[in-house]
Amino acid sequence: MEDQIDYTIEQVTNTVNKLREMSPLWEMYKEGIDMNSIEWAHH
Amino acid sequence: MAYSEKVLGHYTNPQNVGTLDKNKQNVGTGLVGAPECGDVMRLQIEVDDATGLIKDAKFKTFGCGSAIASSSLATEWLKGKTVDEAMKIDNMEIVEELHLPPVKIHCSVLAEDAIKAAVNDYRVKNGLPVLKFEESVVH
Repeated sequence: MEDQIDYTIEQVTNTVNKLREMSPLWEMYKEGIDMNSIEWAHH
Repeated sequence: MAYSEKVLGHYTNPQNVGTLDKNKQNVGTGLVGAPECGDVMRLQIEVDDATGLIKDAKFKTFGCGSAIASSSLATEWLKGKTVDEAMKIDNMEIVEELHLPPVKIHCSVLAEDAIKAAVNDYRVKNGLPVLKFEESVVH
C-alpha cells in the first residue's frame, strides 16, 4: 500500500514539474506577472 | 479516442520548449488562447537579419497533449522558413501530420494563430504593417 502511495506521489510530482516547464503561465507566474492584467484572446 | 503515435511522441519528447528574448528586435512573440479555455500557447521566432530566415523557434504551451504536440510541430516546421512562408502554414497540415481527431482540431487552429501572432509581432517591431487574417472561430 505504501509503495503505491510513494509511486503515485513520484509520478504526479514528475508530471507536474514536466508540465510546468512547458507552461507559459508558470513562467509568467514566476516572473510575478499578474495573469489578470493580460488581455487574453478567448477562443 | 486515443492520441496518435505522433502526438504521443511530441508530448513525451517535445521539441523546442523554451523562451527567446522577447525584447530583441528580431524576435517575434505570439501569445494565444486563454487560461479559462484550457489552452495557452506562446510561440516565438527568431529571424536571421542577414538571410530573412527563421533561425530559431521556441514554444511553451499550457494545454492538452494535442496542443503541446501542435506547437512542438509548428516550431519544427518554422525553422528555416521565411516569415512569409510561415504565414502560409495552415492548421489542416498540422491536423494531417498529427492525425488529430475532430475534437482536437482547435489545437491546430491555436498553433496557426500563434504562428501568425508571432510573425505579426516581428513585423510590427520592424516597421512592417500587421497582416490581417481571419480569426479562428473554432471553440
